[in-house]
Amino acid sequence: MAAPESGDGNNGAARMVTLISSDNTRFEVEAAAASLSQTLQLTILDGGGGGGDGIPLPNVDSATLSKVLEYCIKHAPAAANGGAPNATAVDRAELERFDNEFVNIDQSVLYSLIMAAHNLEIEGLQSLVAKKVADMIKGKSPMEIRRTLGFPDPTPEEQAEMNAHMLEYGWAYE
Amino acid sequence: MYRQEAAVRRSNHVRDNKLLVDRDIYVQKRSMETLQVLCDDIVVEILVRLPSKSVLRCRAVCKNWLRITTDPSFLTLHADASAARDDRTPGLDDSERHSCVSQRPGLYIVCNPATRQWTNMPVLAPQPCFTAFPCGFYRHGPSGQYRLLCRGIVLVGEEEEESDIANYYGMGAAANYYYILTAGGGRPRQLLRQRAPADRPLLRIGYQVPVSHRGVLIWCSLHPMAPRMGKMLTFHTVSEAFRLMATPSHGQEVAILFELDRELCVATIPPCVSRLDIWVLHDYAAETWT
Repeated sequence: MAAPESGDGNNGAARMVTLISSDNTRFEVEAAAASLSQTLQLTILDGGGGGGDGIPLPNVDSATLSKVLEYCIKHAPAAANGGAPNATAVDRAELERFDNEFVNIDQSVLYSLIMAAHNLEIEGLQSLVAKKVADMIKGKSPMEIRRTLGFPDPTPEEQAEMNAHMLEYGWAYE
Repeated sequence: MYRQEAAVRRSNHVRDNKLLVDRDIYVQKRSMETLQVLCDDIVVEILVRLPSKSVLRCRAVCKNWLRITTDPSFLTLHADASAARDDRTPGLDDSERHSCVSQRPGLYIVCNPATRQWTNMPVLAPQPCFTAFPCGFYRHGPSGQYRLLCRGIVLVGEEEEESDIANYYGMGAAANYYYILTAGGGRPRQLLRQRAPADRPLLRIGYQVPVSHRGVLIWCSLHPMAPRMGKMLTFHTVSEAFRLMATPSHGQEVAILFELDRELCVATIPPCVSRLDIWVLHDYAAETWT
């Protein structure tokens, strides 16, 4: 099994791979950035995605994929260093600032990102978006959570269950 | 390759649901409506990051979330994630936050006072003539499971009289084993016979409650030889092995064992009774006391 390429390809230039979104847009990125995705990493290690072939991603549209790749390109150098050890405090602060900015987005985009991060298995992005949604839920009542996340209005039965829960666990709502 | 197929199937599934939801007249915005139909993995990933109170509220959000957040695997994940966030010593605070009570002999239940939930321990009854005494309750760090260490006493040849005191003292060929019960787990597990077993428990009274210190359960006087040798019996909750540990006093009876400011302390009464010595464990590995 070949070691993951860290950017210095065989010809001196970084190895590039092509990803194709569901709406047939082609994205060319460094293999190191795309390899943040566990799903893609296997294909790339097998030598896929180079030349004219490209890796089709039928469940990620181009808008979402460009957002995902923005994250991967930003995080690839730190990941190549094995995370924290070599990173300076400045680098870490910069990444943190980038992450905060990155998830400060419209809910529909955030939703697409969750799905894409999950399908592509990008661990850092998965926890970043999960944390963002968790922050949206924290401290809210069940009804507020449903509204925030755009659930349909509860049926009378669901409403009754919600009220019963609030009565039983009143201390959790203090 | 199959990974991608699975991903495609998953996305088709979500897309179908999305169509259904889009038709729903209640939905005003096309934003996160499908978070409701996200696969369980994603919901778990989100909810596991919430504090306990929020998790409890999430149970009222919808049936799906109720199912997810009451699943034992979710609770274990959540307990681990909370412990990692708070940077607490596992095995100590967690077993303090949970408590284990005996419902009737041989049947124990574990409750979480914070969420007021409870679960049954497996029933310890591998043989018909059997009495079990709970020795200590702890959280197994690596697995995050709540476990109960039990001393089982098998009475050989005397059937269905296991709680009879006369029989208890009269038996000659009693075999003693330790068992570990795991909350939500399968059958009780028998520990291999240990070289440092504890004294037989006093019937009716059972064992004294051990002090839990940094993942180690400690009793001061259970081992038959321990008081004379100036040792205490310890049980490591990660490796699940017994060990004898030196006490600070020489030849003196250890009076009280307790924990103060996260340090293990021992109070001893020297021969001149007007004094009370308190020893603090300085270094667990080196067994030095100050």
